[in-house]
Amino acid sequence: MARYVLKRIGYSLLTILVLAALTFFMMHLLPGDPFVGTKAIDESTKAMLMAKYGLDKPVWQQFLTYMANIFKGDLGVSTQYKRPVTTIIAESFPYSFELGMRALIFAAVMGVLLGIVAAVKRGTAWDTGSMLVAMIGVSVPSFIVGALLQYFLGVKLFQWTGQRIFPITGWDTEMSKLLPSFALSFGTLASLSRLMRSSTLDVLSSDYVKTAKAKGLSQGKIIWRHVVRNAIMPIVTVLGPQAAAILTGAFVVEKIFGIPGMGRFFVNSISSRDYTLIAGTTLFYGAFLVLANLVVDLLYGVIDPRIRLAGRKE
Amino acid sequence: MKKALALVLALALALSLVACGGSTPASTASGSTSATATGGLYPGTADPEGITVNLASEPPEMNPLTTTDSTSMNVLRHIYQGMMYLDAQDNAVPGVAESYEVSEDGLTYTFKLKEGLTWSNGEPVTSADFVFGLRTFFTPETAGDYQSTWATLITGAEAAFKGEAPVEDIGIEAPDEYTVVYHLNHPAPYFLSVLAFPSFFPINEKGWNDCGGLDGYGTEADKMVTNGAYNITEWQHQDHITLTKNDSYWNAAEEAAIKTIKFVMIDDTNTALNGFMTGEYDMIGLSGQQKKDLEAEGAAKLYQYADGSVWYFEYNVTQPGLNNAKVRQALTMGIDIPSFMDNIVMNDSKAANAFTPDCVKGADGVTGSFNAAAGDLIDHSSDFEAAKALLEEGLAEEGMTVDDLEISILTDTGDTAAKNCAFFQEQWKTNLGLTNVTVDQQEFQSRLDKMSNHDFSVVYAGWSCDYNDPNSYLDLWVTGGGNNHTGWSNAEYDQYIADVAKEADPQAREELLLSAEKLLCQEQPIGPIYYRYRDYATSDKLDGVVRSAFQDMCFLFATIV
Repeated sequence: MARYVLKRIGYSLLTILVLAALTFFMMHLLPGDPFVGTKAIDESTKAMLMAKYGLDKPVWQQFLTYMANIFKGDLGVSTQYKRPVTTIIAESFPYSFELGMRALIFAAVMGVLLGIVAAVKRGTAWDTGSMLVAMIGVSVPSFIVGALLQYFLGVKLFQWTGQRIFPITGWDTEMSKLLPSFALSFGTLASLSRLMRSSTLDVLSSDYVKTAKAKGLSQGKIIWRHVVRNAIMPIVTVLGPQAAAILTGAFVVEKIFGIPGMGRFFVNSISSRDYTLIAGTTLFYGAFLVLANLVVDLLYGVIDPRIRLAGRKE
Repeated sequence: MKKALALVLALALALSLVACGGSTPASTASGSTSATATGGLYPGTADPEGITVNLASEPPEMNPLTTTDSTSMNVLRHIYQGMMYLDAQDNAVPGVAESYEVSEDGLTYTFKLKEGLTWSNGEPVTSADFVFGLRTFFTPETAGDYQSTWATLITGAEAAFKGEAPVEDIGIEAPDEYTVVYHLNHPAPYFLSVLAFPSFFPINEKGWNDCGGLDGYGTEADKMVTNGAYNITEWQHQDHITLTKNDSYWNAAEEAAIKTIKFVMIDDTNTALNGFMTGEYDMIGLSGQQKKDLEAEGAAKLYQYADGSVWYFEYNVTQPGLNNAKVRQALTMGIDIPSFMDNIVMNDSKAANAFTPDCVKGADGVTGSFNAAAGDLIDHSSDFEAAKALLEEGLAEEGMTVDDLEISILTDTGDTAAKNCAFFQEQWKTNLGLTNVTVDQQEFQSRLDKMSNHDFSVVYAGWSCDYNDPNSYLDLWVTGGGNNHTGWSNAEYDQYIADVAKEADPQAREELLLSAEKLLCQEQPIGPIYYRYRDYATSDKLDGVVRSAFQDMCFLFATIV
């Protein structure tokens, strides 16, 4: 097990290094630089700025400096905001993380419930209803869901009742967090419920469930003790990648609900060629996602002994 | 299996706990959460002494010496005050200055300062702050975008910011604690209004050093020392900035009637409108369509203002066909401007009759007098027969026909740019019979790259001025100018602009500027299309907001009703 863990950690570190290198060199290939704007600036002013941020040196040299600084925990200073990238991430990521986690937990709980109901009541209106929700969730992007929720529950409900139940923007009260979390979770909820449905159907037709039925166990007990516990495994498998999708996809929802998360920095840094911010946010997201996958990988090892054994054989 | 499940559940639980308690909540002004829809259509926020307005984005640069963008300046003009500041009509009036004298040759400005003014750190505002500010501004290491713009004005500044001479040699001196003298390279009737620009703001040296100097100053609310009508009391990045009235501001009795201003940073225009409709904000910017919608709903306080930008085609005069002035004139004439305004711009923006817009003051100090004196220099009469004839005539002179002319319109990515260019493409096809027109949509930086390399036929671009003078528009098109991507070079034009800088007599100077304007509109390396107006709405409680080309947002004269 220890060897398996070490190996996974090794691969993860390698992935992050490759990511850092690729991001760094690719962003320098883009036309333009951080100091190009609509207004032309003087050559000497520009040279001074390039020197200040070390951009006058060859790219490979900049890369070495950058990597050396990373190990000191220094991601550089944003050329656009003049603030350390680590500070920007430390301030904005908690919002994105909380939003993402709320969405993920809601999606997982609701997705699993809908999936079970659809499978157990297969062929009934329950099934059709849940799968209709899933179909809509998969096809309608989060920004549409967000905009609709905001308009009907934020604006219209306010105009009808005169009471502000759901604020349009902000991230302070519980009510202000509901709509964005739901908007972000909807797509994931839908795909998880479809997955849970098919996985539950598989388990329902397995021998041990039949045995349990034959033993005369009540349906509730069969589903909770035997079906759900086995059927939920594929959900655990996709939670890592889903966490990734939710976190990096939060940008649009953050924009619609005016949440000061990291998404805006991640996306806007590219068009402003804010090299340090591009590299810093990409690396941070990358490291976070690699970590999420590592945790899931390690969980497999705990859950399924065959994976550990396979690791040992090599 | 049980163990594994327990582990998964424990992890989920741990994550949910982190999710619920792991972040700092964004705080909101106390009044903005309890508004109701009763009493007026858009009553705005409930706070009787404060307003919440949409700034649309995070101000990227709040150090006055290096700032370049209107978003930051919208905040800065409330928290700092220069020697002069702009009143509600954009006139430069004394701020920190008590009085001033201008020498006869227009080259020396002597200011007497108000005594007893203080910085937010308690230090007195003195002449040393102006000297320190301007010297720091022209220090090479400061590397501000505006160094080269203002270096033409102040003696010795050019050499100083290029590191060729000590910054102590620039043309500013402080004979005593409350006197400041500026020395200019050339007469500049607009100099007083330039002193209201952030580059010329005083900077308290102790404050500057305490806040971390160049790398730290202006990066957080507690990292700036200010002297304006408001103090910055809160800055939560990407979320909001709160300004609170500075009771020791010298004109606190007359100005800054609103106690607190909260700037929120909502960049999604639909979200901003939703927030406005539910009383979360007191002022938002509007798109053309949103303005029409609010009008239909009966909103009372809808406004528009000229934002100082002129939108035009930049023609690449090095391209065959486009090297002919008649061809360029015909292309400008070939656009149906009323249709463009109705269908694309969708507000009351004005068709451009020249390059310099009508929001700029003339020599007589009257807004719009220069533009009026220039007259109708651009033919937007929608006479497409004449345009087509002119196009064919010009092309024939170059040995070409309409079918030979290939035009690639370079523009930004995004829906608005696509919509604009599709319109132009269709217009040139219908009105002028041009079939080889393509649209080249490029991401912002790539577009600028292509412009610098003359890799385009036509760019649809906009320009806003830096100071209230036609020269701020016209000096763009001199030979080799940093913003002149057309490749156009005209010795006569260059001479006019060079002479403008030397001319001390305002009337003679205006004549030179008018000659340049006429030549530009005759030769048309650029084809002026329209002067942009912007729409905004305020809640029922907010009055007296100033929005103009030179102060995008100013609440010094605003009141709560």
